[in-house]
Amino acid sequence: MLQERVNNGYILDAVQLTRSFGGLKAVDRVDFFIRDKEIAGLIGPNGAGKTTLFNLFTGHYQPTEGDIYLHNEKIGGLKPHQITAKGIARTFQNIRLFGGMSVLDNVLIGGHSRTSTGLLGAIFQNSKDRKEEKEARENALFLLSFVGLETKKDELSRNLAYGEQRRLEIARALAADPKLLLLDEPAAGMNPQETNNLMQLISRIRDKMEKTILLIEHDMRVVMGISERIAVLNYGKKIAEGSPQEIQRNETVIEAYLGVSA
Amino acid sequence: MFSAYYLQIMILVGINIIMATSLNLITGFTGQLSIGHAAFMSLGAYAAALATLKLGLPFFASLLFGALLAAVFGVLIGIPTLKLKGDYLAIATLGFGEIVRIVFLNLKITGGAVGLRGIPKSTTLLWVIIAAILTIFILNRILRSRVGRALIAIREDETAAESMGINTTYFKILAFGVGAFFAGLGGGLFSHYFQYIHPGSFGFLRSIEHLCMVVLGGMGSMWGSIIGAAALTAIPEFLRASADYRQLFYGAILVLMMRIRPEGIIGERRSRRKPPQSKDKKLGKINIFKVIGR
Amino acid sequence: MFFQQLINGIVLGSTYALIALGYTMVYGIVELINFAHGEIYMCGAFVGMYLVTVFKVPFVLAFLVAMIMAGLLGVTVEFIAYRPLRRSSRLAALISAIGASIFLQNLALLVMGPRPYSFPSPFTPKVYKTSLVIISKVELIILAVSFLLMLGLTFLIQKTKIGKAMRATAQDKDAASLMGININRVITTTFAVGSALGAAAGVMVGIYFRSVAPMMGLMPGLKGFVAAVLGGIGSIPGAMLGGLLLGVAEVMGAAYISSQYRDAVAFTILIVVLFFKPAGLIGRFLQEKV
Repeated sequence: MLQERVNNGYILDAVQLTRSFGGLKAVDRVDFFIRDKEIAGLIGPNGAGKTTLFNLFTGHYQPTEGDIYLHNEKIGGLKPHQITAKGIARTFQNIRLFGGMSVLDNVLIGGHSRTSTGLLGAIFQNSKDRKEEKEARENALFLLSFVGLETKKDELSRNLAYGEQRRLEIARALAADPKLLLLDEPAAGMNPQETNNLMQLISRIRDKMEKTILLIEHDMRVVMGISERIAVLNYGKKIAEGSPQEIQRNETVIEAYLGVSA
Repeated sequence: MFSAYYLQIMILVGINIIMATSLNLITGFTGQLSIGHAAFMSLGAYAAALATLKLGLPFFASLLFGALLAAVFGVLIGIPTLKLKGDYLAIATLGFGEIVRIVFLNLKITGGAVGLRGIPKSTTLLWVIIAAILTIFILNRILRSRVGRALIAIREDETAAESMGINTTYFKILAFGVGAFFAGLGGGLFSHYFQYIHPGSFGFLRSIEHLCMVVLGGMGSMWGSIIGAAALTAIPEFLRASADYRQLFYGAILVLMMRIRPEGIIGERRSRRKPPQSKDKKLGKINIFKVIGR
Repeated sequence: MFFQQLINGIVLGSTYALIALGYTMVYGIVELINFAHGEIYMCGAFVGMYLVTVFKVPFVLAFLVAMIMAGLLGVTVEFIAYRPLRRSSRLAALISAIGASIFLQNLALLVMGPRPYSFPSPFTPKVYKTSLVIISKVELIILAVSFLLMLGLTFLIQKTKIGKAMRATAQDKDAASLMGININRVITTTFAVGSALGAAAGVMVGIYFRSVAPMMGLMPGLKGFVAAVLGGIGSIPGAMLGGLLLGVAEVMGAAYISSQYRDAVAFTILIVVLFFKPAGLIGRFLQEKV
């Protein structure tokens, strides 16, 4: 079993993952995997358990049953900050930037787990700490230019336009240098132009930065347009999985969305 | 150069700058409401005084001893924050402050209700100025580093901070430890200036006074705390206001500042606008019909 | 001896329970520690004392008027110090609450002066003796009135329309509002009822110790909060249980450990509970939505 897992080439592998809230099973025995360097999509009607699944992957919720492996290392039960250090970063459905801080500081915080200056380092600032800070800033500026926000670096993040805030969240997550990037409804509330730019950005992140990406998205143009593989959740269960074409033809999926009883 | 009266006010201003800036680290920058800052001050004051009186340590070493002891207790009170958020934490700090006061009231070595007398008058204006500048300098360095960013991130959004890899528990405890260290330093200076301390010197209302300085100047603003401490120390002295009116005024400050200018007198106006909300998600839901139906 | 302490603890605890109810109701609805609650308790005691000693009003009437006046005060505090901050951060609301508490306390100090006022008991100083315990008439009345008030509150919350609205609001404010519940009215009612219960406790403690003073609200206010946390904040039965347990623990601690550390008992319990069981004995721990 373990041997299989070592060679399966999955960056993330969830086995029979279950999360209950009281009597409700928000995620119900879901088997789920993501291949290295792929763009995977996760869709499903509202309340299907998509965000709960994200929260299980990132440690915000603990699994009731089942295991999660990141590169064959068990991560179920770890705290969010430990999981970030292991290589999963995320954005939030309802944008959670540090509103009172500058755009640059937001990205610098994203790099927290890749830096190490502690209390004494902060006070005495020896050459190692100064070098680390300088590199962190250079990297943050690079990421800001990558998402097209370099001119906004000194603004308070809460003063950015909506689409810019979404992109800043992505830059902040990238600063953690994750192996796996989880995007929770990145296109929500964007206009068609912003959505197009976002799709290009996500593709570039995978191609240029060689990241693996999993996104939850309601905008089917986005999911179908950039995902290589899609999983569908409904009532906490995985009801389908496959290429965008397969998903679009899948009867069960269509019924789940149209609400037709079988 | 100065009359004794002005000297005393200046020394009190300096000590209160140390108290307010260190509380600001905990409450203004890290967002953890502490209403027991005077307890850390009292720990430093008693520990430093006893180090001088019983152990015969030199003044500098006594100050350091008091500050370190306060820091240890700061970490101890920080540990319940493992599970606590906002309001619970505030009450825990208040409870901690009361426990410390009651213990000092009953311990023999601290002189009980009578307190400690005969502490040498080692604190001079120069010592206070050096200590205040050092405090501001160190806090500034912390705040402008990776550590400081982590603290502010916790204030802004604890959940998001944790997602960014910040061990929020560790950094909250660190904020309490550092804040308590400097409060203990302020306490040591206090006891070696007034030469006499008793549990009543460090009650709940003293903690509220520190909070007022931070709130008036602006939470999360270093200059704000400095000005808040100076203003709330000096102005009531010059007005010769009685203690009752002073506290009535403190209460009003807290309510009114939160209502009118939560960012403080000199803080930057932060827009209270919430981030724009996403449009109706159902739009996305309709899209699938288009795509699938094609 | 033990049973006597137990009875004393229950009498004290029933007043803590009444105070705790005010905290827990407010917290359940607006998620705010109403720091001024201890001062409302103090004001209630003063109103009762004034009516009885100066205006010679019959005790029962004075008791009811004190509850009504405190209810009004609670609503006023909410209106001035909390309502404008409903959309602000919780830290801001908490600081405002502390400010309101300090303000009321010192206003009372200025108006009434620092010395305590005597509050003669309207009841004959009769005591009832059994083989195990001695209990006074005042103590019996405190127990009975506390019990009746808690019963009344339970009825209000479980059986009446406003009670149902309160429960719905505590569950989900937005959903309740969409269902046509007037949230402002629910909040006002909550503050009024909670404050009235606090005043009831204040008047009864006033006649129990035969004195009222401006600073009398500080400690019981804090302990009422500890009781609410002990039982599980937001839970009505929790507040009642927490109050009784805290009263007994405090009296036992003073009797068997050290009377000098009496006040430290409550705060030690608080920190231990917060550390090991932050949801309290009955409460549920709500996980923040991500």
